[in-house]
Amino acid sequence: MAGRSAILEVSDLVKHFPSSAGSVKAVDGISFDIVEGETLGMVGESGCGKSTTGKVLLRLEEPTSGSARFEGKDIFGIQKSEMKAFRRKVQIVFQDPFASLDPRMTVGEIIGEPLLVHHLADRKALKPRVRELLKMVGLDATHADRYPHEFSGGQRQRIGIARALAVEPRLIICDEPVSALDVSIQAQIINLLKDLQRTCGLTYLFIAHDLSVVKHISDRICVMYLGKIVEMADKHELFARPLHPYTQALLSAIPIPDPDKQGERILLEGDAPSPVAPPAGCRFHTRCVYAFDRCRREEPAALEYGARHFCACHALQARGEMS
Amino acid sequence: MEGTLADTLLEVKDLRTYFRTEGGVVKAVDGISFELGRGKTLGIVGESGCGKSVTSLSIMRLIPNPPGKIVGGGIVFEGEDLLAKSEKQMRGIRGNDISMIFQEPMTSLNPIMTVGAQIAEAILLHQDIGAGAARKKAIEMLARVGIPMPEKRLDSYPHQLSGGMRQRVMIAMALSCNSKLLIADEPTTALDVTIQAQIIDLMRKMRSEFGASIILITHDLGVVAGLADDVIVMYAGKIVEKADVRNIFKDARHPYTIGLLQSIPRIDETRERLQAIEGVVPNQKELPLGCAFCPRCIRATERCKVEVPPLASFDEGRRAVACWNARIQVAQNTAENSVSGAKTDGGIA
Repeated sequence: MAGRSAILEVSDLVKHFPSSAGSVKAVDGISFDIVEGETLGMVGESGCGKSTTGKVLLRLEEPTSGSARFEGKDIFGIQKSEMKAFRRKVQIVFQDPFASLDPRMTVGEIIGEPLLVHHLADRKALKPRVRELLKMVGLDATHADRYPHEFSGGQRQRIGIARALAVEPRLIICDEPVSALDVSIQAQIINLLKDLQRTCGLTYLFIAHDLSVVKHISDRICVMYLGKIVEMADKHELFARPLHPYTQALLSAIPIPDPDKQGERILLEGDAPSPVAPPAGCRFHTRCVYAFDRCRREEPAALEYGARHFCACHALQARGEMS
Repeated sequence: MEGTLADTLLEVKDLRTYFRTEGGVVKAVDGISFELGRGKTLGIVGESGCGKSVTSLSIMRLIPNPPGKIVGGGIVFEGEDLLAKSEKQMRGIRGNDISMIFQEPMTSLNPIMTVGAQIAEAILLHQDIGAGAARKKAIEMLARVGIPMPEKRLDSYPHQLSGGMRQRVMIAMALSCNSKLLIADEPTTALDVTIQAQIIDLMRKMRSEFGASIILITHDLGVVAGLADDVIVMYAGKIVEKADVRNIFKDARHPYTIGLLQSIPRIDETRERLQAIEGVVPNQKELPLGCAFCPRCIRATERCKVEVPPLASFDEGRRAVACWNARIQVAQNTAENSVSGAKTDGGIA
């Protein structure tokens, strides 16, 4: 990706939600960027803040603080009048293809609507463009007159992708786009997303809990835990040399479909703490076998270990200083 | 292979469970047979609508009638035919000899009873001990499934526990009744990966410490590889392949099994492009005349379109595959005989 500029730059992004039990610190100061044409995978377990991040970047939720720039322009400073232009460039594909399509609209209307809203096609040009989009995502042009319920989960996800593609976006935020699909269908959608990236020059923020899927599709991966990014690296680097104890546990917990590769797993104790009252210091210290005093007091900063491999861990830093 | 072997706990013979729907009869489970040995784990793998969950509900005799009905076959558990039991007798077996855990434990726990009361209820229902002893046993079981501070947790309500903790409570209930068979239907699907690893670890312990047999129903091939001894692959209500876990992953013969294995992204190897299985998971109301997998199969021939392939055993009856084109020779073994013999079942125990 050298030479290409960052299309998205996120700095110290915070999103807290008010709740009766206290504020939920869903995203609590994360920074990353995405280079044009790449896929950044964002992984973590439920409640780590990955989906909230996607929503805030699209302004579907307003941030508590922090900044995000898309093509150099401050996303959070966008006025209502400019929002339409922004949304044309940044689109989202959701997890549940059953909930994200209007059941009373035909597929042609669903895909055609963004074209009309953004004045990208007049009534006459609409139909051929919808047919073209259907073909791009591997559906039949005749499908335009049918309703969402007539399609399977995988086909509905293709419809959702066609709708996102209609406005020719630069960045697509994919929020668990294959999690609800059958195994044999997941591969079809993953291949489609990869093909479209190449042919349409798309950039993806790919949010998912399934590390195998994320590894397959991403160029770089960031790992989130309780509202923080604990590690970020090139995917091959991350899988070959996971540095953060949480990443190590996460990778070792993935069930491998090979009865001969059932190695020792790092079993984490207990559950992740509540994002309402995250632990002081390093948020992972309550489940970390390497935790020492400093981890309980002080939040670790993300430091670079090797080329563009960032990790926020006191124990790792201490080991590095000793050697 | 007649279910008389002392080490066979469960034998399912030619089970057929059909559902009557507006669009016609759906053959959710259409003639499946398998055996499960004591202390063994059988993985049932397949995608939505393949009949894996209906199989487990049939064993528990929990098929809602109407619209569903077990229309044929036999389910023999410890030598007794479960299909001949009265509803009252089944109530004595469910939750006692045979326990079941589901994907979402919240739906199987009573939200207005403490977990302690629920475990104690199960114990009191099936065992001849007093309330105090049942409570003590409940604490012991919670501790054994790795719930911290079990005395305190006993008085928690299900909503106060996390998903992983709830699944532990369900497993504790099964253990407290000394269930011989645990049916686990997607037990880790709703859980985060690190919690999934904890539950898989717990199920392994349960098998070795309590000697329970497990039927593990899942779409996750990774979970199967780590837990199962034998595997059944189902497609559209039928078994398309069965074998021991090593052969399923190392030497699969059915194009669907092979396709599934090739289509998943893996962290232990680099795949540039996934080999997707084209087409869609079949609609049970519109099954093709011949092999149900035929429309998606890269090896389909004319015969596949019109004739349903039987489940043919090979490898001396240890494996079976239902495919006209599958290679069923095994080195030093002439498997052709077993095809013409058309045995209904090779036995999986």
